[in-house]
Amino acid sequence: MDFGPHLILAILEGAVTAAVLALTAMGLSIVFGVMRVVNVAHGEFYMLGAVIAWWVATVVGAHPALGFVAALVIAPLVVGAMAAAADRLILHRIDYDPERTIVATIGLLYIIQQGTLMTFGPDARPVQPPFNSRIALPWPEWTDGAFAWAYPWGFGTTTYKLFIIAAAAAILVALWLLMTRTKAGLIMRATQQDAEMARAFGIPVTRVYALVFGLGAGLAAMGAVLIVPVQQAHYLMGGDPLLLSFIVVIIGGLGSLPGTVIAALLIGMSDGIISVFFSPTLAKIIATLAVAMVLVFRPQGLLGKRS
Amino acid sequence: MLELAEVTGAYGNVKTLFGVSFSVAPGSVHCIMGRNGAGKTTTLKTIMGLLTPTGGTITLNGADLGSESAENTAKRGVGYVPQGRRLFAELSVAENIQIGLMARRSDPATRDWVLDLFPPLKTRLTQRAETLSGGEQQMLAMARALCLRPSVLLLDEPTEGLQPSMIAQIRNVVMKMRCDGVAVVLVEQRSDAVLTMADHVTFLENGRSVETLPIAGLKAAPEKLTHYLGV
Ligand SMILES: Nc1ncnc2c1ncn2[C@@H]1O[C@H](COP(=O)(O)OP(=O)(O)OP(=O)(O)O)[C@@H](O)[C@H]1O
Ligand SMILES: [Mg+2]
Repeated sequence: MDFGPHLILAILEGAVTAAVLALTAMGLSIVFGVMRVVNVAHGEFYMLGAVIAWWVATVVGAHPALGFVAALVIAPLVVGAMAAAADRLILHRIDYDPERTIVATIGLLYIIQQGTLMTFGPDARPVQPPFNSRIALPWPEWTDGAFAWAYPWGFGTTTYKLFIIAAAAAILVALWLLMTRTKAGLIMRATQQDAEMARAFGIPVTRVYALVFGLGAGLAAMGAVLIVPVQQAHYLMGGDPLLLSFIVVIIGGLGSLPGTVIAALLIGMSDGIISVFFSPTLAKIIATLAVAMVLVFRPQGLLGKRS
Repeated sequence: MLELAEVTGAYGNVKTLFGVSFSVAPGSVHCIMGRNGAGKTTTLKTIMGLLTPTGGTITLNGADLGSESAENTAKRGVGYVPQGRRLFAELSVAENIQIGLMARRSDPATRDWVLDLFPPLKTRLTQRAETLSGGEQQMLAMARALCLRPSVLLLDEPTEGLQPSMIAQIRNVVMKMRCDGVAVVLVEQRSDAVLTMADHVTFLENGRSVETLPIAGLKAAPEKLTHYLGV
């Protein structure tokens, strides 16, 4: 394959990575923005999303599409409920003290991971995509003094990958509408600005925090359900999304939702492209370097505000 | 009637209130005065339920208020204008007002009523609260609290850093609330403002209420201001 088609393929792979990463990082960003909580267990909620998706798809059995749709609804709800419970049982009790929260969420990380290993087992398990036809992509070629569309061998993608990108975009738009156009969003933004004043104006901050923690985890789970037909569910799959989400949130600016989307696109695309042309390890090295550069030259992130 | 009796309070292990007592009748303005760090803000936060008293009682119309959360205190009709305004800075003026309206599910008429009290806010509804001038921010802080249609209004230094014409506007609104039967608790450092607004004054010293007297009593004995405030 020529360089041109190869690059397009890499960009498509990058866009899929970016789409899922945007959802996962957005979950981390909302939790940090509203609650000032650094959730080290975020990647495990992602992993749980994938594992529960496998479980739901297996129980539903029937047609893959039915199982997948059920998983897309049920897995984020279950993971969100588990996260909300963890908030009430653990984070609320330690008063969201920053240091203790980090230690507590590290503990949560291992509990979820080992709990999954004990129940789900060490094997990677696949979920059937609801649909997965191959689309051959056209490439213009100059033959006999005229352009013609050619279909180079191996140059194509699948309908499911395009669906991942569209679904992630739709979820992000829905999230944006939720935050900016609804009463719930207003309450979350007010709590983010000043939790004490929110309480003084009748906002049940304890419940808002549980909800936000659940929403953050649910977003990670949605990302995982979307990707699991391509990547398989595995109890250790939460590590990379956690690292990349942290990278995205720092580059985008802590608590800035638009910054998070932009950074997710940058990091996801470059991760995809560098992985295709060179190696996934180099992609992670470059992303980590990018974080270091941001921390040195623009500590507030791309769209973050100086505090 | 808002009543505090021997209220004590602490930030963690640090005791700050050692016995605060006073009562505020509907339709009156009760002023709290005291030096910096005397515990004025702490007293208001304790009434509001943002701090839990460690002893004593706080009641509103005879019903316990001391053990209520801030959320419920707000729902019971206590409006809070904190020191330093504490607006939801990145939210618009309209959104700040909407938060106030949500607390007690106030009707849309309340919004118009509040905006009529502070007409300058009407042209700034889409502006972010943090971009308002100091005077406008204070108006918004008061408007947000009045959205609750409060029966008790807690004002913590509402005239801080404002020019005389703004102070006059604030005073007008306070007097209007007083006429409407609101019990107003006003923390105020400026004795001129106190003398024109208050019905009663309570002096706080080191977290303790040391003297309460009607405004006429204070006018008759102005040396008390020097004594308690060192001015
Ligand atoms: N969050 C806190 N933690 C610990 N101590 C506090 C806290 N806030 C206030 N204090 C202490 O409580 C005491 C009373 O403070 P408070 O803010 O109530 O004073 P104030 O009378 O409102 O003073 P000012 O006139 O300066 O506003 C002070 O000694 C202060 O240091
Ligand atoms: Mg004070």
